[in-house]
Amino acid sequence: MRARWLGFICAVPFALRAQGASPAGAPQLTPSLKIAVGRLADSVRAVGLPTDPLFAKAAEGTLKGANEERVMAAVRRLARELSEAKAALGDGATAAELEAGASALHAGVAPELLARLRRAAKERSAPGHLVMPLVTLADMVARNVSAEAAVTSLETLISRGAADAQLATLRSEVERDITGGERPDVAVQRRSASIVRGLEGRAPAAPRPPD
Amino acid sequence: MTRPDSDVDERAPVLEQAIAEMREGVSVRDEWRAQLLSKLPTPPRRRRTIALWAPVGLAAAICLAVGMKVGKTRSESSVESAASRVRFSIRAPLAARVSLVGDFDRWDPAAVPMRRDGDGETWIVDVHLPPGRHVFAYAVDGDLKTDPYAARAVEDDFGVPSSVIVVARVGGR
Repeated sequence: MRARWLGFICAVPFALRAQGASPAGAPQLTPSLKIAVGRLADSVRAVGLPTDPLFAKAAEGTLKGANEERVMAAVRRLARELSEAKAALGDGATAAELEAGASALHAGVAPELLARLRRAAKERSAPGHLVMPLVTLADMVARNVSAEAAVTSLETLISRGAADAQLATLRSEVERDITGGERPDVAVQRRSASIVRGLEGRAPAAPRPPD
Repeated sequence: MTRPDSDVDERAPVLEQAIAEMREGVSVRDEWRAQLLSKLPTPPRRRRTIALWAPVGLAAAICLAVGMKVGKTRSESSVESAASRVRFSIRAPLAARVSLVGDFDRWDPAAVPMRRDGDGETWIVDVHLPPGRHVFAYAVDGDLKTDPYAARAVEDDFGVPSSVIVVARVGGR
């Protein structure tokens, strides 16, 4: 009886994964585009970068009706951003962190600022730890928060052990404040200070790692 | 309160049968279900909801994490965390076919078809997404639509906007 239940429980994730992924990959790519992206992916893979985002970008462009030239320009740009993200975040960065880092670079964040976030997180590093900070950074910069103000707030929150959920809250609250007319930098500073106060009330503040 | 496993093995067969019956889903006639749902208050607006799988228990969470890792290539394996179930929904009463497309299914309109909800106007689908940032859109009868409640993606490489959803790690710190 227990073995049957265990088998059922273990089978669930595989069944669920099957519902959300296309095993055939990117069926709508033209043969020539598939070859071009494949060649780029080979070189990207050789330097330890994830290749899935490149095929996804090509598929997105194709579905959105872009011509091959435009699709390949976007794919090459993404490959360059992934490479820059890896240089800034280090060899230990996960694929999800590299994708999030590339998104932040795309939004206009300088590679040096990504490296600052990595240094802030080094005392608490765990696989994927930087995904949410990087996503939050990219999103706030896209909403006209200055990259410097966003990184400074995120450094403080990371070093104090803020959870992903708190960064997600920060992201949505800053968005709401900006929509309500608040200046972007003021919104992020006020909201992050509020989270820091909550963290300090929960437990003694963790020492901030040296930059 | 927890009990040692040896106690479980010694349960009487009738108790096992009762437990098995309680685990069976209760079938309800569609008319009754529709009446019941019609009595429930309507939420103020329909939107995506993130439901974590915590109630399934530790065993399921471990298996989920293992399952996700096994199914990925080395370059894809990233965050050591269980995926989150995310409900996507869009109101499209006149549509004949709606699907969810995004970087998680390589923008394949055939990969994640959506189904009509009970109201006949809203299309829904639940998918499991790993933690991180996901760009997506809805393919409504072949046209791409953004989610009115989701953030707009900053990267607009192709002149057609997309939406973004961020999935936090379970207990991520």
